[in-house]
Amino acid sequence: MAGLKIDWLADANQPNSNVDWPAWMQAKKESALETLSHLPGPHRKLELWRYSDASRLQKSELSVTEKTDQELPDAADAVVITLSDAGIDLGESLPSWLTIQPIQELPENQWLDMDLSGALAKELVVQSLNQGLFTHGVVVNVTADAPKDATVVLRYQVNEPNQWTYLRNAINLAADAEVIIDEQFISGRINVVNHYHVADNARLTRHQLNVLESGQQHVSLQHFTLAEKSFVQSQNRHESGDLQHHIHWVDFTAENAEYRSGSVNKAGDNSHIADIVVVNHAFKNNVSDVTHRSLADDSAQIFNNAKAVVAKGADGSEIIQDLKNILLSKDAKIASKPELEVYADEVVAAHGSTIGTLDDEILFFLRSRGIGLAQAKAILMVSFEQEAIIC
Amino acid sequence: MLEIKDIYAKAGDKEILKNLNLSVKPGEVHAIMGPNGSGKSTMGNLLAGMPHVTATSGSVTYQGKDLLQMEPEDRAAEGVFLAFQYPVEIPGVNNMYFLRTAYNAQRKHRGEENLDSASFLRMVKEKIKQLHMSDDLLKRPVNVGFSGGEKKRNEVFQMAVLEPNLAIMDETDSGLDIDALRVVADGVNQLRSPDRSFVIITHYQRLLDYIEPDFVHVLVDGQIVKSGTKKLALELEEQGYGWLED
Ligand SMILES: Nc1ncnc2c1ncn2[C@@H]1O[C@H](COP(=O)(O)OP(=O)(O)OP(=O)(O)O)[C@@H](O)[C@H]1O
Ligand SMILES: [Mg+2]
Repeated sequence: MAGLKIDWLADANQPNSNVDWPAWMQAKKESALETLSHLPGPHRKLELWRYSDASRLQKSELSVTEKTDQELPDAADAVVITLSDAGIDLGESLPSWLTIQPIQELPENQWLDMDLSGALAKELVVQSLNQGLFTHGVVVNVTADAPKDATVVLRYQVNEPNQWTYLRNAINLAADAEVIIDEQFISGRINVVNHYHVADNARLTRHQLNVLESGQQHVSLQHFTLAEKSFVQSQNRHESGDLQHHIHWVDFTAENAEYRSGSVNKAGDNSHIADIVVVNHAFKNNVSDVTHRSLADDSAQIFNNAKAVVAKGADGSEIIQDLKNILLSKDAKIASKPELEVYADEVVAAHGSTIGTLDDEILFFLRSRGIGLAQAKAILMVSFEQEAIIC
Repeated sequence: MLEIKDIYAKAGDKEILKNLNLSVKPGEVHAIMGPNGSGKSTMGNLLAGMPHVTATSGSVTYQGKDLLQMEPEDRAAEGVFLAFQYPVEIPGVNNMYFLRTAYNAQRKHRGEENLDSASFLRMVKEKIKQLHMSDDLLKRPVNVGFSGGEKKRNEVFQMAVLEPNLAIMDETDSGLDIDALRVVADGVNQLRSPDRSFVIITHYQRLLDYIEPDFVHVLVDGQIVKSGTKKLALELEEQGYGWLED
């Protein structure tokens, strides 16, 4: 079977094709493509693609509903970085606590290879393709001098709706730094890989807003490394679109750090949304707390997966996986899977997953106060989502 | 106002109401008493339109309309209000927001303009003062973490804001301390008017010391077996229901 590269390279948007890549990065890209060309493309038999129709990735023409009057999310007082066909737009001059460079200036020792030979390589091919095909991106460095509420917005706004655009960013928080990073999907057919490096005692608050128009697609890998006593809270909203496939990959690299995430997944029509979180507890005394709330309507499909792997010796790890789901129609499908793989002796873990429908009793209560059925349902959905709103 | 005629009704699959008859005129206060499981809440739920309670025969006429044909939200907008025996909690939905949504939905149904949030707030603050309730209940999610008594008071507060024509109060007095009982009674008494009616379900005649009923009915096994005045409530208090059941 032909590897991925052959089919997809033809479809890749290469707006930045005359970049001078450093030799080592060029070599990484070529080697990734070479390895991937021998791997099969994504298909339904793969765990992470069972509920996402991978053939949709290859549709070259998307029937995207045009956003008429596009309102950009509010970003007052924030540094906005727009990644578009035209390259990178940094807006105004940068504050002293922030430096931004194009991705080709990433120091080689900060590069994180995606493992293309391991057991998961096949599952991760779509995200891994980014390694061979990324055309631009930024390295964001935040120092410890960042003021309270310092905010950086990464906005993905590509005009080409049919070909895939591959973006790659590295976001580095220095020791003791504290920052809010907002990622906003605006337009395009985007495959993005971000590496968040959170140094000792640093605190990252991250918001990911992926509200897609019908027909749009978006694939991402968010990779986090958490150093000693660092803290990450990550809020994700994935709504609608033709296909969304998101992986959050968390590596603790020392002790006493905490990763918290809340995801709201909301799919209607024929949307496919996959929201996958993998947390590797390789060291002692780290906490991970993952909450998903998902709602599927019409003939939409949602896949929720929260996985924690606790290595031998990683005692004192604390893991919470809380996945709740609501089916709003008979044809909608949700698969929800909390997973624990524990090799350590002393671990505190709580996990649960439920799939239900909207609470009839509350629905009746709201209606008995005069609120119409549609609005009552909307209120119940907001109520349900609230439990996954963490920051 | 309300005419319940020969009603047989099921809750789920179980027949609960068996030939129930009740007639409520504008301005009247009717108290309904009766043993546990006799069908009092089922009656309230039927009137409010709870989906799993269905009438198998008989009719309910409210202000000249066939009540059973109406959606729950339409009944509410036409002035029917049920204070629930067990109020539900709605996490993440602010009490004030919920109440304004309900209030404006009812106005819309009647073809009236929305009340803007400032005017609504003013009105609500006024009501809450009249009821001697603390206004921090407004800022919290609906009933979440409320004590039993606070939940009941919140029902009365909703009633005060929505100003129904027919209020059915299902054991709103249960589990209340004496002060809270007064708040509930005040809520009812302040709303009492010649064109507003109340059906008050209770186990305790003490509530009727504060809210003077026009009639007291005893519901046993799905039907009203005896009706009388306040004196009947006192007799029941002394003798229980045994003497009525056979
Ligand atoms: N959904 C249902 N399915 C089957 N039985 C039901 C259902 N709802 C209520 N019942 C039954 O109907 C009967 C009457 O219940 P109801 O709540 O109306 O009693 P009540 O008079 O209000 O009692 P209480 O004084 O304890 O509040 C009870 O036996 C109850 O178990
Ligand atoms: Mg009852």
